[in-house]
Amino acid sequence: MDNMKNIETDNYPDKIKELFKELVSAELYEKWADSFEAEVTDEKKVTVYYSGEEDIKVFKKECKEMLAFSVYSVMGAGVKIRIAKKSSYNSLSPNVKKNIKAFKFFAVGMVFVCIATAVIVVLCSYIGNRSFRETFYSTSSIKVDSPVRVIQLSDAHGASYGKNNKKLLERIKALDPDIIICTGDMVDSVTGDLEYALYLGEALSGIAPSYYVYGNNEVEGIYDFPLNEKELDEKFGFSKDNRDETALLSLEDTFEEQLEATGIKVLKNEKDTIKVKTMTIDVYGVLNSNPSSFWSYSEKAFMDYAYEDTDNLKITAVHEPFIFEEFAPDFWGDLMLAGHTHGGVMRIPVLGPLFTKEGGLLPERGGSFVYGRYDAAGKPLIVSSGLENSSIFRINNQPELVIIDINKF
Amino acid sequence: MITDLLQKLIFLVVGLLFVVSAAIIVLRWKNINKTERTQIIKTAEYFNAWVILICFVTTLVYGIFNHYEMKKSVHAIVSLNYSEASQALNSNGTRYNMAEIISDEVVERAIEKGALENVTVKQLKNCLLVYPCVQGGVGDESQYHISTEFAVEYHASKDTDHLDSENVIKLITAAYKEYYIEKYTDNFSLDPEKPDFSEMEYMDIVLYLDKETQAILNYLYGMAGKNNSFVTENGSTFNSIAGKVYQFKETQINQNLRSLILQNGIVRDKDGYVDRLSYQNKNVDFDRQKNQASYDLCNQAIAMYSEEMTRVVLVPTWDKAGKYYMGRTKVGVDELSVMATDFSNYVASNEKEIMDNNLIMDKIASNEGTVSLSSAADSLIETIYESIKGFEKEAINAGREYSRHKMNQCIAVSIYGISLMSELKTLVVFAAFAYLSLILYHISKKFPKKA
Amino acid sequence: MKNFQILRYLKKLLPIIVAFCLLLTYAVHFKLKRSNTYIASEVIHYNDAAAEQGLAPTGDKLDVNEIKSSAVMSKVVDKMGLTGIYSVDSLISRIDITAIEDKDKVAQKEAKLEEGEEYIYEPSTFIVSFAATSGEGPDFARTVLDEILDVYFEQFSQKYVNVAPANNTIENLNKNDYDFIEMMELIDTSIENTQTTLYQRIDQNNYYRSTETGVSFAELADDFNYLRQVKVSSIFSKIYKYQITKNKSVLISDYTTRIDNNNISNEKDKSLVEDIVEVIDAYVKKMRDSGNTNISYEYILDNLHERNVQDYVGDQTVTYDELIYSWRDRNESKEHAIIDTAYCNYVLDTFTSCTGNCADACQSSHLTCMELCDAEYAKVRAEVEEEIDDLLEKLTVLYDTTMKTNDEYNKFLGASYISILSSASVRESVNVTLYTAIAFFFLMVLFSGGAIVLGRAGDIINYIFYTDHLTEFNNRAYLDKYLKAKNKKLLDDGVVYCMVDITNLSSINGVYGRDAGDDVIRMFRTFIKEGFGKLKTEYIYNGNGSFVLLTEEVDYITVEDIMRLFRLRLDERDEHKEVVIEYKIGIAETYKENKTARKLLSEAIENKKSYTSDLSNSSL
Repeated sequence: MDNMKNIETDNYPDKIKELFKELVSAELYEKWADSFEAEVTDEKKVTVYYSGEEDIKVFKKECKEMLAFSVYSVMGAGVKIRIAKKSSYNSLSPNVKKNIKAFKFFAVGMVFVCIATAVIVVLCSYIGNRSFRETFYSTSSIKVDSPVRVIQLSDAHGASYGKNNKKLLERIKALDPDIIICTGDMVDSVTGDLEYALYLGEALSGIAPSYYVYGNNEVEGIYDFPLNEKELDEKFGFSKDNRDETALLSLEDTFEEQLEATGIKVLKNEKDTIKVKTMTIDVYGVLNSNPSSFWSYSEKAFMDYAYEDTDNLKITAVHEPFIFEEFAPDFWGDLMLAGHTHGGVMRIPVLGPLFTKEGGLLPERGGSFVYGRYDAAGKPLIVSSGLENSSIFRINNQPELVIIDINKF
Repeated sequence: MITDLLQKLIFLVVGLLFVVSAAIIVLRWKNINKTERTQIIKTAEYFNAWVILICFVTTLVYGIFNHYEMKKSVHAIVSLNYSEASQALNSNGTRYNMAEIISDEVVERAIEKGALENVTVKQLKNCLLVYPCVQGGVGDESQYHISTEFAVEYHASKDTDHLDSENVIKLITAAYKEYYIEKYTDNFSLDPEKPDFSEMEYMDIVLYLDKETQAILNYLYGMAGKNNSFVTENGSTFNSIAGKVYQFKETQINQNLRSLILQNGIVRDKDGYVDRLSYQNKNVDFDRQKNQASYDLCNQAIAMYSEEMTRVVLVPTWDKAGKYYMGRTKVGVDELSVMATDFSNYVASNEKEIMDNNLIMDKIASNEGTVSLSSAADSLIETIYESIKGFEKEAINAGREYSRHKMNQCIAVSIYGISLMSELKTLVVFAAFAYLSLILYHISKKFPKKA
Repeated sequence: MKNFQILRYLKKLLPIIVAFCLLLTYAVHFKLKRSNTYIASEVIHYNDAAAEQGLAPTGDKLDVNEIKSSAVMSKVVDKMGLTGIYSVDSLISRIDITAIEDKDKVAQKEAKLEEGEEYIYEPSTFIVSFAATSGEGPDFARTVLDEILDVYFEQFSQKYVNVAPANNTIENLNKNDYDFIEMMELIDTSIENTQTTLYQRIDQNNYYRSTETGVSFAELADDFNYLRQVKVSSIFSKIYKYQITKNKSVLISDYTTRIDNNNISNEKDKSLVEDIVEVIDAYVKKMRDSGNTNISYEYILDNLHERNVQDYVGDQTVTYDELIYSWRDRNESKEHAIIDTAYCNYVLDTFTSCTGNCADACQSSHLTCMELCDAEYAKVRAEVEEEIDDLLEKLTVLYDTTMKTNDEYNKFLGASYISILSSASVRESVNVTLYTAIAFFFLMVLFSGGAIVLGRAGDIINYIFYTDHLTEFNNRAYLDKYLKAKNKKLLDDGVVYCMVDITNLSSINGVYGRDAGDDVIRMFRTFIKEGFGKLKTEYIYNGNGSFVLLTEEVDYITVEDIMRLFRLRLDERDEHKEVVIEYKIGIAETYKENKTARKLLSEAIENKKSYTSDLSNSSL
C-alpha cells in the first residue's frame, strides 16, 4: 500500500503540470512552463517552486488560480499550496534535503540537550552548594609532639548552613579542632552582616581558640579603601623613605572590638601564642595581604613573628594567597592558610578553575594559587575555596570546610 | 543507592533494547531473502539524528550516574619509607603487619577523626580492603619479596553510602599514619606533669631530678647507639648533648643541690623524714645481715672445697682484647668466689646506704631551720627543673630530627580518586553499546513481520 | 560415498562445537573457582646460631610446629574476632610448615656422618602457609597468616628469649583483707622482684626503648626504685611509728606463726646441711681413693677455642660442685630464716610495745598502744590507707607500662630472632586460568573428534539411505527430505532447478537390455556431473531415468548453456550410438520472484512440457 501511495504521489507534479497546460492558454503556458515545478511534500501539501526571471508576484498573479485548480483537481480539495522562489536549497535533491533536515534536527536537539544539561548542572550545583563538604589535609612538622587539628573557615560572605549556621557549627564541634582560623571575607559588609560575624565569633570561640583575619570585604567595609601601597601612602602621606608600619594599625576599627568581645581574636599583622597540649603555637594574621603593601607595611611584624621563638609551631593566616606567589622568603611559617579565590568559582574537571580575576583564563595552568595545597618555602600552603554559596556560577566547586591535621612525620 | 539503581536501570533498558531488537531480527530473518537483508543493512541510516541524539542523552545520563557510582570507590597506596621496612619490620624493629592498616583501632580512630556519623567500625571495615601492591613467591630465593607498598581500597556499601569516599580513605590513611607514629616511631618524653615540689622532701626531689635526668641520658645514649655521628641542624650530636646533660646532672644535682640540702640538713618534715630514714636503715640492715651471711657462707664453702677437686685443665682461648690467652676450666670455687665478691659488694652498698642515711639524720638533727636556705634550695630546684625541661626538649628535637632524616617521613600516602580516563572508557563503551542497540532497533523495524 | 574430509565435518558443526566448549569450559572454570583454595605463604628464618643445631636460644629443643599450637591459634582467633566463627582446630589444620634445607649444609652433614663424625644440622628456614577457601578469599589467608606469625614471634620471645616474668601481682591488693604491713610487704616484694627482672632486661639490652610507651627498662627500674625509696619507706615508717594495724591480734598471730615456720625450716635445713657434709666427705674420699682427682696441669683441651660457646648451652655442672652449692644454699636458707625471725620479732616488738602513754593498758588490749592512746592515730591511719591506694594506683600504671614495654620488647626480640625472608604472598592452590585453558583445549579435541565421527556416520547413513548406487547421486528419499526442509522458506534469488528425464528408458531396457539402460543412465550422470561440476549443485537421481539438479547462486542462462552443452555431448557420444535416447529438460529459476522449492520444482516439471528435441530450434 505504501508503495502504491508513493507511486501516486510521485506522479502528482507531472499531472498537475499537465492539467495546468490544459487549463491555461498556450501562450501563458509557454511563458511559465519552464519557470516552475511542483513538489508534493505529502498528500496535503504542495510547494510550487518558481525559478523564472520575472518577479514571483507576476507569476503568482497570472498562474496562482489555475495552479490551485490543477492541484485540487489532481490531489483533491483542501491541499495546502505554497508558492516559493526556488533557492539553492530547494534545488538540492530530496535525499540531501533529508540529510540537511536531519542534521538541523540533530543540531537543534544537541543545543537543546546542552542547554538542558547546563541548566541541570547549574541547578544541581546550586542545590549541592546548599551544603558544604569537608576537606581533610595532613601535614607534618618536627615541632609537633602529638597531632594538632586546625580548622579553617574562609570566604563565607554571610552564607549560612542551617539556621544560624547550626550545621556548620555542629560539624566543627564534632571535628574537635585545637585551633579555628577564619581567613577573611566571612561577611560581605561589616555593617549589614555584623550580627552574623558576631554570632559566628562567639560560637567558634566556644569550641576552640579562634582567630579572625580580615579579608578585602572586611577591610573595605572598615577602612573604606583597599590596603594597597598607593592608597596607604596617600592616606598617611608616606613615601618609600618614611613609611611607618604602625600607622596601619592606628586606623580606626570598631569591628575588631566587637568581634574580640565575643572571644575570637582578630589578628592584624600580629601573632598570638597559645599552648595546645604540650606544644606552643604562634598564629599570625596578615592584615594587608595585598602584595603591593605586604612588605612595605608589615615587614617588621612578619619578620619578628617568623624569626622569634623558632621552636614554636607557626601558622600564618592571610586572606589573599598572592603574596606566596610573588615573594620567596626563607620562611613563611610551618603552615599557611589562605582563601579569597573561591576556588576559581567554576571548576572544570581536569582543567581546574575556569577563570579568576588575578590569574585570567585557566589560572592554575599559569601557576596561580587558586585552590588546594601548594608549597610555600618548603611548607604547606592551603588555599580554601571558601564557604560562599550564593553564586549560581559556582559549579563543580562545593563550599568547603578545611580540616588540617599536623603530625610528627 | 538510587544512582546505582538508576544506572543499572539505564543499562538494563539499553540491554533490553539490544536483546529485543536482536530477537526481532533473528525471528524475522527468514521473512526476507538475502538480497533484501543486505539491502536493509546497507541502506540503514547509521547517522540517524534520533539515534545519535538518544544515544548522546542516554550516555550523558548514564555518565552522570556512573560518575556518582565511581566516586564511591577510591584507593590509596601506603608506602613504607623507613629503612627497616625492607626487612618486613616496623621502624621499632617489631614485625610489620599489613592488616593493621584497617584494624579496628585505626578504623575507630578514622571515624573519630572525621566525626563520621551513622557508621560503625564494622560497617566501615567491611568496605575496606588491603593488599600488597607487589607480592613475591616462596618457590625459590629469587622469588622472595618483602612488600613495602600496600593498596587500601574503599568501596562504599549501603551502610556507608552517605560518606564521602575520598574523605574516608584520607581519614583511614591519616589515622593509620597517626596510629603508626604513636605505636612504632621514636617516642620519648618525661612526665609532662610538674610535680608539686613543695609537698616533697628535699632529698626525694634530688632523687626525682636525678631520675629524670638519667632518663634523658638513657634516651640520648640509646640514640647515639643507633647513630653516633648524626649531627643536628644546630650542630649537636647525641653524645654532645648527653655530655652536657651528664655534666649538669653531676654538678648541679648530685653536687650543688644535694650538697646544699645534705650539708644544711634542709628538710620539710623533720620527724617524718627521720622516721623514714630510720625505717630504711632498719630494713637495709636486715638485707645487710642476709648478704653478710651469704658472703660468709661462700667463704666457708671455698674453705671446705677439697684441694683435689680444684684441679683444672688449661684452655687455649682469647682475652678481652681478642688476643690468644691460656685460660683454664672453671670449678666450683671460681663460682663461689664470684658470689662472695658480689655479696661483699652488696654488704658494702648496704652499709653505705645506712651511713648515708645516718649522715642525713645527723645533719637534719643539727639543722636550725634556716628559712633562707630552704628558699635557696627551692630556687635551685626550680632552676634545675627548668634546665631539665630544656634538655628534654633539646634531646627530643635531636631525636625527631634524626627520625625524620632516617625515616624519610615514615609513611607516604597517595590517594587515587576517580580517574577521568576510566570514566571516559566506561562512557565510550556504554555509548557504543547504546548506539549498537539503537541501530539494531532501527534496523529491526525494517524487517517485515511476515514473509 | 563421500571422501573422508575432516575439515568438512568440522566446518559443519563448528558453531555447535565452540558453543558447547565455551559453555562447558565456563562450567569447569566455575567449579574450579568454587573448589579452589588460596594459600598464603611466608618464608621465615631463625637467625640464632643454635637454630641450626635444632635448639632455641634457651637451649631447649626448637619446635617450629609451635606455630601450629593452639596457644598461638587461640590468640589469633581472639585478636581477629573469629571466636564462634572458626574453631581453633579447624584453623590449625590449615597451617602447613615446610622446611627449606641448605643444600651445602646437608651435603656437609652427610659427608661428616659418612666419616663417622658427629655433625648436627637442622633447617632454620621454613615456609609457613595458611590455606583459605574460595569463599574466604585471598585476603583472609594473608591476614590470618600475618596474625599467626605476629603472635608466634611474640610467644617465641616470651618462651625462649625474654623469659623472666614481670607481672603485676599486687593489683587490687587493697580490696583484699590484708593488714597494712602485710600489704606493704607484698608491695615491697613485688617491686623488688620486678626490679630484679628489669635489671636483667637492662643487662640484655641497655638502651631498648619502647616506641609505644616511650620508656626504657632502665627508666622503669628507676621509677620503681623511686616509689620504693620514697613512697614505700614513708608508708612503712608511718605504720611502724603509729603501730597501724587492722587487727593487732591477727597480726601477732601471723608473725608468731612466721617465726615458728622459720624455726621449723631452720631445723630442717640444719639436718640437711649435716647430711650434705657427710655426702661431700664420702664423695671426696671415694674420688681421692680412685685417683680421679689426679689431673695433670699440662693437660690442654684441643680445639675448644674454635668451637662456638653458644653451641654448648645447658647446665654441665659437676656433681661435686652441685654438692657444695647445695651445702651453701641450705646454710643460706637457714641463716636467712634466722634473720627473718629477727625481722618478725622486730615487727612483733613494734606492734606490742607500749609507748608509755597508755600505762600498759595496751598489753591487755587487742588494740595497739598508739591506737589506744594517740589522738592522731585515726588521722594517720586514714592517711596511710589513702597513701597505699595512691601507691597501688601509681604502681598499676607503672606495671601497665612495664607490661606494654615488655610485650613490645618480646615482639622486637621475636623479630630479631626470626626474620622474614619473603612477606605473605597468596597463590591459588589450582591455577584456574591454566586448568581452564587445558579444559577448553581438551573439550575442543573431544568435540572435534565427536564431530568427525558423527560426520562420517552421517556420510555412511547418507550413502545407505540417500544415495542412488547406480549413479552415486542422491536418491529420491533425499529429494523428499530436501524439499521438506527447503519448503519452509522462500528461496533466494539465483536458484535454478533443472530436470532431465529419459523418457524412453523402459523401451531402451526392453530393446537393448537393462545393462544398456544402465549405461545410458550412467552416461547421463557423467555428462551432468561434468556440466554442473563447478556450480553449487545438489545432484539427485529420482529413479526411472529422471535427474533433478538443484543449483544455487547461478542464473538461468548459465544452466541453459550447460544443458545445451549436455545435449551436444549426448548427440556426439561414442558409446551406444545405436540407442535412440529420448529425453526432456525442464529449467525453472527464482528471478525477482520469491518461490518455494516445491513451486520451483513444479515449474521445472512444467517447463519440461515445452521442451523440444530439435537443438537448433530449441531455446536451449
